Amino acid sequence: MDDDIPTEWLRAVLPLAVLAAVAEEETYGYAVAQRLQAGGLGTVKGGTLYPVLNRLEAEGLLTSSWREGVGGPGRKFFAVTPAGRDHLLRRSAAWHTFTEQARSLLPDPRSTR
Amino acid sequence: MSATPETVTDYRQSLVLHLRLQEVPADRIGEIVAEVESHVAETGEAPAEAFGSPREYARSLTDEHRKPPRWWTATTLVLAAAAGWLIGQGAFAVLLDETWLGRSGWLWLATGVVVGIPPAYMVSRRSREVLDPRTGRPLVRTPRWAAFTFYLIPLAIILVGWLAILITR
Repeated sequence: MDDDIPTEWLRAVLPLAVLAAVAEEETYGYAVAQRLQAGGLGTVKGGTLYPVLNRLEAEGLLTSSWREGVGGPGRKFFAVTPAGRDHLLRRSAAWHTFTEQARSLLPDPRSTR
Repeated sequence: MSATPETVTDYRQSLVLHLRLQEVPADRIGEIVAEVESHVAETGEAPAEAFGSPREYARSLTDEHRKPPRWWTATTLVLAAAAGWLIGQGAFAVLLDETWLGRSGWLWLATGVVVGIPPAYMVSRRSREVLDPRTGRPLVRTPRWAAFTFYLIPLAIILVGWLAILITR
């Protein structure tokens, strides 16, 4: 990804991307940030990530628990709930529909015409 | 607090303070602070680099934790004042072996205590100690004399008042 992603785009997709990362496997904040970076979303700062994780938990889509870290002070692990998995499937489908519709409105830079 | 706290301990103290000012419940404060510390322990960043200044970060969480409305604080204050007044009147009536408004001092004392239960609960909830969810130990030490002074001052006022009345009678 060579261009910077506008923050509004990131804000829109972040909750779903975070939920997807946790749905893949039970994980902790820093690993989610790494997963997002590897997925091309750039560096997501802690100050952006944890409020999203906590909001998802408050909505009942995630649960969390503290575990002993390896030599460290402990990690907060997040796991998806059945409601979270259901939400992820429905919202992902809606997101794909939305992006496809938006795409048809935008000029295609790769088009040869 | 204008300077950006450099160390994790400074950041912790400042963040706890700003979350307290936003009236975030103590258990949530513990979670938020532990998240910050656990995260920067892995990334090696300074807390302010990853989370912004304690003040900004505490404020950014206010959509999650709305401050209680003003009438809630006002109700707490009015109930606490009424309880204090009733307990004071009751205590004096009992100590001087008199009645107040034709009723026994004990009755007023009991009424005051009952009226005082809701505000006492609200205040204790707000001032509950912040625990670290990782260790279960307090995050920030509260001086022991704080609670002591809290109860000692009203007690001293009643005792001094009582003595003054006894002497001048």
